[in-house]
Amino acid sequence: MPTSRSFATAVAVAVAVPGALAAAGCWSDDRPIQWSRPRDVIGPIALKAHVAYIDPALDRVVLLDVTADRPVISRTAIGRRAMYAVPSEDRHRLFVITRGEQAIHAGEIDQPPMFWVVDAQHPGAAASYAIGSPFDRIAVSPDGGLAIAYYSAGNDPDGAFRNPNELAVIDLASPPSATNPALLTIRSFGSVPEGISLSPPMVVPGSPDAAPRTFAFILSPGNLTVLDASHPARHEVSIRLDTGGAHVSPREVVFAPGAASAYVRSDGARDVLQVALEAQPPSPTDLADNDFRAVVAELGAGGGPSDVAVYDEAGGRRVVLAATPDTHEVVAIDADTAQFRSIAIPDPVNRILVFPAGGTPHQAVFATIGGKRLWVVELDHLGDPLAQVVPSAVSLDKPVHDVVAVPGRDLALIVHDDARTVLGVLDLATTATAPLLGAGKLDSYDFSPAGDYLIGATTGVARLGFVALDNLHPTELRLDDPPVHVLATANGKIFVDHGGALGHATIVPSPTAARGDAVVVSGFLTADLLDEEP
Amino acid sequence: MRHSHSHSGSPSGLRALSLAAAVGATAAAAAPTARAEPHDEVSLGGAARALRSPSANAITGADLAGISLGLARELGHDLGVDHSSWPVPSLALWAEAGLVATSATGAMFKSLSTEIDQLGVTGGVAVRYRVHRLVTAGARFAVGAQRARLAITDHTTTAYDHAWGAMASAGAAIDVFAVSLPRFGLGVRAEAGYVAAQGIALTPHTDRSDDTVALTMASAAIGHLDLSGPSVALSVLGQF
Repeated sequence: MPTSRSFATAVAVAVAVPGALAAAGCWSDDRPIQWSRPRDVIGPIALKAHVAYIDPALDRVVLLDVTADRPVISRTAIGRRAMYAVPSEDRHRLFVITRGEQAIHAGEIDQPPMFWVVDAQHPGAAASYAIGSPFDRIAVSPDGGLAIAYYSAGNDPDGAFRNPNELAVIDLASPPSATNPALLTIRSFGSVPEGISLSPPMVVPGSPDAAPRTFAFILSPGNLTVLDASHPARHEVSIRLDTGGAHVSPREVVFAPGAASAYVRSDGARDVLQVALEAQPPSPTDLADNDFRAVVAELGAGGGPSDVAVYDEAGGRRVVLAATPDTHEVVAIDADTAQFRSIAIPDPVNRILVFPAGGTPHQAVFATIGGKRLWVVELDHLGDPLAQVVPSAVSLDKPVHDVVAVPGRDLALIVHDDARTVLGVLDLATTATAPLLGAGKLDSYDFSPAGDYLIGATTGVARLGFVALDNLHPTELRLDDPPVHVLATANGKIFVDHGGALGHATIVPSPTAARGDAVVVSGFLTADLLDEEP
Repeated sequence: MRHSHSHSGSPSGLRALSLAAAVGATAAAAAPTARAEPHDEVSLGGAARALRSPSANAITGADLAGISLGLARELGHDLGVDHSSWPVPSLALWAEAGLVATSATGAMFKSLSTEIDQLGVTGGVAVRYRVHRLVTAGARFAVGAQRARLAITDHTTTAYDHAWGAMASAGAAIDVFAVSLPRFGLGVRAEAGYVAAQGIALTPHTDRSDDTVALTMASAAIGHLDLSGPSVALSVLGQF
């Protein structure tokens, strides 16, 4: 049957040839670009009840809720190329700067630099603010109401021009708008900011505006800039620190609780600088004029302070403690009257800690990094001119490498060497020190939220060490894998990060938990990765 | 979040394979052939499958490649009808069973090495039409199950998992015979088709090599790996 056979042959060819061509044409497709991006995960970052990781390849924040026995994983999408992240002071929110990108290759998008607010309690969606420039540092006010994005001192290899004195002031309580964030460039005298401190809410005494507001203290070599961050459209106030000829670089700002004043310690300065904000009617012809003025006073530390601390006494008197290693003294300055009292300490003190931190302190510890003595001073009678103040010396066997206050406790952790293998705990009640010998280098450590345990880990050693700070009883918990980072969340859980691109961590319910209570969680950085559309 | 390492299979895929085999057996009984041509076939060759799903693209930009092994038996010729009255004569129905083992390697994020291993077992039917004494065109449809294994290596640590899922495939083939005798044939087959596969849930995990009692592990699932995609195969076949 030649006709039927020819017909069938023609049909077969007609089907096979286009089919083969179609198969060749749709054989392969382009792989989405995010799978080929480099991925340098930022984190872990401890939040209140979560631990956060920022994935700059997949443009998301991975949150592990460690409240329950088993962690709950959630994700929040953010913008391209995350660069920097900090938590809020209450650790409920995470602030992330993404650099954005320009669409150069297939699959890339045009996206400007953005500032993201990730609420750990409401994962899944993040608020974003276009900040205009690829800032890489964030300062957040203690009340979490304001943030300022600014540049670090580094270069920007992807940019053309960079204005290091530019800032983005973000009102976190308001949605994004044409005026939020406010982009501004502070007045410069040739230097660039090296740090920004945001004040707690302050009410300017005597001002008709009784609303608490946040002030930004911008630290630049030779210059201190004060900005009313709650009203960023107003002028900034520049305070030149180098008019005397000496090179002065502000290093540290401490704010007096509940007052519109700040104390600034500077390298190269003889005294602690007090910046008090006082009401002053704005110019009626200048809508951007401030309603305050910055009154600057030198509090007579008299010797180039190396560290400062501010506290309020129970009676309300505000005291600035300044260490002046050049004069071998510690100076207690009455912030209201500028009267000061010198306490002779033979060592060149460069570290001050007050205890208990966060309340009305009763004792202060003065340390010299590299020295073998600590000095303890009772603060309760410091204001009494008739009371004799006698520092108590605490001798140590080894030099001090670092001193850290244990949160909420009258204890200080003393680190004696670079490798952090020899530690000591100073009990301020007895001024006694107890040595702690580590089996290895203390690469990562944290304190439990109540300050009752020191938790430490050594990279490469699959073990977690605990020290009960009440009685210095050490315990340890064997891990399955070596730790890289250990941190304590504010809800009391201990999170041990083991590193790795897939996500690998051990969660210990408490410092007293048994090994069997710990849970290893893995794969959280790739959870549900295959089910997500690119 | 999975808390143990049990691996679930795919009963539906195995059921489909059994069903196909039963259908083939029934057809063979109903339409026996009496022609002096080969009735059985063995094929061995290479196979490739393009990975086009988002989940597979996440793992690798490469395609699956490997080997294929096939067995087939002719069930009947011209469906038992006198071919002089049949509009498409020389049409044969074959029952087939196939085994395909393929793999693909790749990288994620420039730092993770990935590997997919796939083993597919199928059964189905094929319709073949002799275009020429030495050339046969065919189309086939098969169902079965496939085992997918995923391994992700981060420097020194490898996390892996495997599971079974159902699959179905359809394709068109051209057979070209170098030898075509009444009782023996030897040739090559080129086939193009498409594989539709069920997404296979995977939870990569690591194994401990020592004898310590491990802490409770909670591994997060990576999601469903879909290995669907167009396929090609080239094999040597012998009929007897």
